[in-house]
Amino acid sequence: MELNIVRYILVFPLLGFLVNGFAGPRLGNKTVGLIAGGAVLLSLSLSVYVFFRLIALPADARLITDTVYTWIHSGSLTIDFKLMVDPLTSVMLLVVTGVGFLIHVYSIGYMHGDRSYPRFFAYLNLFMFAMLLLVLSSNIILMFVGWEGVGLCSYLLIGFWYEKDSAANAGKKAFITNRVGDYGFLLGVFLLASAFASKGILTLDFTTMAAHISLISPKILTVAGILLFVGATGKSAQLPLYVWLPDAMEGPTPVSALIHAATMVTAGVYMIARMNFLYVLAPTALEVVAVVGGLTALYAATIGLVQNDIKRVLAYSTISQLGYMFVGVGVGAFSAGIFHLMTHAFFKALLFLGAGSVIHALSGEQDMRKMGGLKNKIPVTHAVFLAAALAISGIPGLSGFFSKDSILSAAYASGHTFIWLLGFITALLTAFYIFRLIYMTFYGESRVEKHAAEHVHESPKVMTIPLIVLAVLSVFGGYIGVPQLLGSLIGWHHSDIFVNYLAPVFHTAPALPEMAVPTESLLMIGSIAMAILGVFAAWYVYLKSKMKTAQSAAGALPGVYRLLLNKYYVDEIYNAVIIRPMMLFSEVFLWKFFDVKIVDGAVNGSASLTQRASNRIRKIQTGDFQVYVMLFLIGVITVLAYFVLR
Amino acid sequence: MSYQMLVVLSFVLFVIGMIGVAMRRNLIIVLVSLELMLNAVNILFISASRYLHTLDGQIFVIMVITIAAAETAIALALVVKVFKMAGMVKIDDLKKLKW
Amino acid sequence: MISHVLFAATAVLLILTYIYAVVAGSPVYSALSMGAAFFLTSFLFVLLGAPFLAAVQVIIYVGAMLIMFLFIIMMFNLNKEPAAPVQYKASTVVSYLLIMLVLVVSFFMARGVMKMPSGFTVVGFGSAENIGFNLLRNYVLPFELASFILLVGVFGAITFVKKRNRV
Repeated sequence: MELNIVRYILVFPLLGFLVNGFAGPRLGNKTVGLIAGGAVLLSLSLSVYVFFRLIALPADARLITDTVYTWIHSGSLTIDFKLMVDPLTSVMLLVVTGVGFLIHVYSIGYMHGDRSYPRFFAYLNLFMFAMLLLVLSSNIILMFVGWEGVGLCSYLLIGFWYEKDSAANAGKKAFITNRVGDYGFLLGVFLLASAFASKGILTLDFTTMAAHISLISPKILTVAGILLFVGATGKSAQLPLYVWLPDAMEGPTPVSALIHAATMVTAGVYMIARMNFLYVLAPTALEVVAVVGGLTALYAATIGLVQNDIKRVLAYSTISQLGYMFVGVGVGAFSAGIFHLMTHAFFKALLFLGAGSVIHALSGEQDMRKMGGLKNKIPVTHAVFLAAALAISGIPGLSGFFSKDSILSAAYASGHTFIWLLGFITALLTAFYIFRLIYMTFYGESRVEKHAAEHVHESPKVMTIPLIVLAVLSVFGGYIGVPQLLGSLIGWHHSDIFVNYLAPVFHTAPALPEMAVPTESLLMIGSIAMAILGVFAAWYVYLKSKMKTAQSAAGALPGVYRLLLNKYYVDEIYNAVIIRPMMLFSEVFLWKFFDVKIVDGAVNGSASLTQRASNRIRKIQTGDFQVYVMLFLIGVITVLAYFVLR
Repeated sequence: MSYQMLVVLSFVLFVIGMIGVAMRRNLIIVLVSLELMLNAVNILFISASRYLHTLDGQIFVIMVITIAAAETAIALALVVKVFKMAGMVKIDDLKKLKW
Repeated sequence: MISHVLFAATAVLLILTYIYAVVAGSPVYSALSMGAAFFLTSFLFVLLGAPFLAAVQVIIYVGAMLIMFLFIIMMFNLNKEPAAPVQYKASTVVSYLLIMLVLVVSFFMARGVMKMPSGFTVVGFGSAENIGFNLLRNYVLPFELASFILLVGVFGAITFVKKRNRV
């Protein structure tokens, strides 16, 4: 179905960006916030409208398109600026605009008093535009525009406080690391384009590609799938390109919540789900996705165990949870991956915003060793934080439980026992580090520094209301995807609404083998047990024994502790292996030799040559009109002589 | 009566005009000579138009007259300007346009 | 035969007026001599079958341009020949020009005698009607462009002479 209002979902944030970007400082902060929030609210309302139009269609014909114009027309290649909404897109749309809107509202309070207030909201709206373009595009080229657009906004927002060196460097790191991934992504796109072109299909439209994917040989598909996944590892912070995400925490906290937790970093997962028709035919590539996802999940969780900066713990947690999502799509359970993407967007955005509220209350303190005992001082933040923590830990009944469990059971059912084990251990670690954070921040004795302790205060309503809405979503958001096993216990057939809704998009994906009820129950009980064990362990280590256990554990295994605290020294290794040699090469060869000697030499040489030549011949310019007439005469005679005498 | 005679006539007139442009120092007389050169060319056009029996040459003359009119207007404006600036209309006053 | 005589007389007079216009000591004489040259030219045009252009010649050159020259000369009292040295000898210029003359004449003479069509006038050849027809049918675009150039000329002249508000 063609529906021409889809484009306006994009238009409003773009307008907001233009207005705030150009006229922001003159409008006053209140108007800026209103424009930015209003633009996203309009997009959200339109997304909801489009969603209802979509579900009104029959289940197998749920596709709304909107061709804006022909974007590229070169020879026989035609690429349209065409938007597309199918069930997968609609989920992303609602998550992006919904969470995005809440974060915009929160930012109005959080960024209050910042001197670059209009710039912040302009970037935020530009980000919304790029992210929505990524999600809505109907071909991979247009998707790449959005893909790069969110990368740009990520860079701009990480380095938002560019006066701080660390923020500026973090922005550069994010951008450059993403370039590495994008290089792979582009190669994948080129490979696909040439493969399809050799079969006479001169478009990169998702639906057209899906229809003709069987023409391409599986080898090419595998390589293309892995190359595209390289792009995803950059954008979604997976091994080995995850290094930028922890540093990205230099940006304002709402940015961390919106871009580096809820939306942009999930773009890789979305891309793989979108290209499911390709990955289904490339099992090796899918295997790579699952293994990298599983390893990243465990790896990042171990680092998260010992970090002391509240936002860094959440950053590693995000990497770990993204790993889960890749496990989900990697084992072929695309719906489960997207389901976890959605619930994660809710509770992780909430965790970040809650952390922002804590930081706000403590006048900018981010070190958890200087927190503690905040439970009664900021009760609303504590309550919502607890809800989010329970959700991420996988405590039954909350959203995270349903999504994480469906991924783990899919991993087990598809026979990836090793990956399942990785996820299973990660579940324990997740519960542990997140409750470590809770206990260190909200419980126990107050370790808050004196001058900060005097100002501890609950955040204003404009910040707490989005938190409460997100808390409600984190708690109840999972009930649209209740596993059939639990649904049938209470006589609810087709309880897996989410999977059924997305099923038409993933119709090429082979169904996962059915599991016996006892096995599935056992798995579920196992992961519940892991979650509770993790919470309990954190309680024992950090509250009961007042961190003495933690200290003694660190003392008993100093090597491991230092390894984890220094994040496995990956930054140092990258620095020594890649950055140093490159800097050395750039300085010695590119700068001192190539730039100074050859480039500058050529430029200066040609300039001085011109100058010297001009000095000689400028004497001819006497300024005397009649001399010019004579010269002109001589010229005319020469030409005449040529014609007469030839 | 041959075409060559007309060509030679117009060329002689053209050369006389050119001598004026090249030799005179008075800006007004230089301009007069310039107009005379254009006029010599017009004669050539008209003769060619007659010789080839086509009106194109006459059309061309109309264009030349138009351009000459515009050119004279601007040139005289410049003369006025130069006079106001220098109080004289010597060509030597216009030597500033050099390196 | 009479036309030959008329042509010869016109040609001789033209050359004389041209020479006087160039060598005249005062700009006024020079301009007046130019006016005479234009009159003679228009007579030549009539002989060459361009009556419309002859009229145009008189109207524009004599009626407008000559008057403009005289007006400027008299308004600013420019009738003083500045005594200034010529930077090169007249003989140089003349010799260059003679080379040109020889070149051009030899070029045309080399083609043999090119007879003009018999008689100087053909009825209706250069009439206003024919010219207008040709101008507005085959040469509309140049015609419009020429009008545009005239407009620019008007603006240019005004802008040059106008007193500027110094910034």
